[in-house]
Amino acid sequence: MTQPVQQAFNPYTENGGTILAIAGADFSVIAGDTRQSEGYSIQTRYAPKVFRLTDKATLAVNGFAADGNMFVKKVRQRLEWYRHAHAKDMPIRAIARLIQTMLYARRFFPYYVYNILGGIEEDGTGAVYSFDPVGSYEREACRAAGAAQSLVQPFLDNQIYFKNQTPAPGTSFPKHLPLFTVLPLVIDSFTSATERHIEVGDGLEIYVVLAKNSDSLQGLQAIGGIQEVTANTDGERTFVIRRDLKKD
Amino acid sequence: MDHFPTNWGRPRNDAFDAYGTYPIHQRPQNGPKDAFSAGVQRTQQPIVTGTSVIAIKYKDGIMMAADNLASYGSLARFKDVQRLHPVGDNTVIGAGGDMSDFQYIQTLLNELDIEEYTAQDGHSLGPAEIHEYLSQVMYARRSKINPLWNSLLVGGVKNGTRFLAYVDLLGTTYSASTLATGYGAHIAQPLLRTAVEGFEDVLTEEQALKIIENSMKVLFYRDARSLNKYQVATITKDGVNISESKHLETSWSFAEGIRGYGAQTQ
Amino acid sequence: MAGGVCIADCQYWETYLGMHCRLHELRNRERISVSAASKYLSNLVYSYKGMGLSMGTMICGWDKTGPAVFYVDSDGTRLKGDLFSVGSGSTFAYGVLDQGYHWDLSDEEAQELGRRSIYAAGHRDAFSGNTCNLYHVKEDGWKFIGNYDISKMHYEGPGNVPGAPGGGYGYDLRVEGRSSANPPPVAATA
Repeated sequence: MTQPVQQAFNPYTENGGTILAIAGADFSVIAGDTRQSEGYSIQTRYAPKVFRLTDKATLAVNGFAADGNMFVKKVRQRLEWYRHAHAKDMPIRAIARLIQTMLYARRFFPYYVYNILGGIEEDGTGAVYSFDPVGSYEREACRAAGAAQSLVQPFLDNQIYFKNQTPAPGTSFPKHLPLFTVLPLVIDSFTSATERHIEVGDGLEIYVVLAKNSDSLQGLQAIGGIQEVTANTDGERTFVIRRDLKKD
Repeated sequence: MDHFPTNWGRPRNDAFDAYGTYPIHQRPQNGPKDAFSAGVQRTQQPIVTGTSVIAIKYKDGIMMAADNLASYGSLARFKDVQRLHPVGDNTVIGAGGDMSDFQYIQTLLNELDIEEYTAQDGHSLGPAEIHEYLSQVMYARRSKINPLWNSLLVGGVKNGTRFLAYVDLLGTTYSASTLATGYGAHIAQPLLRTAVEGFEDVLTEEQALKIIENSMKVLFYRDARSLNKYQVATITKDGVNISESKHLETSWSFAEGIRGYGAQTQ
Repeated sequence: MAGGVCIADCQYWETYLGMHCRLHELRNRERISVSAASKYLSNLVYSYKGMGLSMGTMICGWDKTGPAVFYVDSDGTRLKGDLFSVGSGSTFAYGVLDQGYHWDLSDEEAQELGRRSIYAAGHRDAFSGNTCNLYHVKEDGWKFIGNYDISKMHYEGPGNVPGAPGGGYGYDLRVEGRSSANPPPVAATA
């Protein structure tokens, strides 16, 4: 047996930033800021944390950037192998389970990364799956992770789940919010997080995944600077919205 | 056939830890054994080190600079070391951190270069490919808890596109129009950003050189592990050029007038 | 102990155990016994002993031998018993469980005792709470009984469910007749 050697090297660091995702009835929104930092230094103002995996799944990664990039690379590789074997894209619930096994495979030397997977389920509903670094996961309606999780999640709980709010007499809260309500919430979450957290800022990338023939398409084209990233317009469709955040 | 019962898989009685001994019961080790494992030395701290590397994008390509010093702790040990290394026809890498690890990286890249050349397949490695290769190597080594203790900048121009990116001992990567490693990230980066951001496509080579020279000077004034002798690499569509060593003109006369800076005793 | 990793350990290895129970069923044309299933898990976690797995589990079921409950934790401990509670709030749950348990509980009584025990843990333990899931395993398999909000149980009770006494588990018991807004019966008549 090798005797334990004194190790001064720390293989991890924390690169700041925040991600979030919200599921609607027939859409899913996945967003992340683009700042990458270490300590008080901004390494770059543009390092994407949100990645399109398939036409109906988009993954946001946050934590140790090197692990995050490597993890996305390996997930994409597995999805490509799946495409070669089965001639179709892997469904999102299967991607979620795949991510669990991939993360847990590194249980004793984890990827120091928080993952949020957003997209469209096979039944056409919007989905958000959130993971911890070693692979425990859950399907939810909304989740924030990363440096400003503690600022953003309570805001989302209040605005999406209506926590600590009482409906007006004779009314009830909606189960799912429409896209035109969700998008401003996402933008507001990040402008606020930018104000109060030094590791959040520079830029914002919002991915919107729409189910087949989603009604949310109306009005989406009107949004300034929106860009479609899917080639086919007859299936699920993915759009990117980019916004500037404060750089200080 | 392995005749040692302890190697047959889960042991039966002899090796079985009947009393659940704390903390780890021993499982048989069946892998190859390295008799010299205790003698293998891993980089646990850098010894002979280089300090900052800085680089910017400008109109015609990338400009990168690093001084010629390799320190041994606080001792200025080697004062004519080149820390900028050309790879292929379109790329330069600049290294801070452990210089022996950097030399190893140079041999890796030379091997890669030769392999690529020998293939004679009409392809050549550009800065993006070299950066990807380096980041995979660096990440793989950190994952073995045996890092190559460097911060590297990779800059180049290929097919009309400028490329500038960073990779370090953790495998962390990023890219921006101005980059600086080590002390430079704190001292030079703010200067570079104000001078370059938004002007990447208009800065001339002369202007870029001024910016670089100024940053190297500021670094030399404040970084105790730096030297007033440095080299500048320019990578443009015409290829790589690494300058001869340049000397920084510095002036210290201002120190006389400042209390606590010069030779005053009171 | 209440860190994130134990969630992943439980989620992953219980899924894994579920897969192997199903494989047993396919290979042997019969369901795995509770004892065998729990032993599968305990042997598994024992092979990782000392490496930092953190799980506490109870494997409950009905096989040829009748009802059975096994406790398995990440130290490799495996115990058969008829009453267990596990986790950071287990001591609070045991308090309620022990005072209410007897071997011939009716279905409704047993469900109520389980509900009330988890309520106690959720109420007093900072790391337990939010809601409680209740399952009942009998000869013909498991049945999901319901999901109960801990705060709701405190103030209003679990709702109109068999076995529940009606009313909240906590709040009313403590404040009934203790304020002028809600005067005690004696004061009200006087």
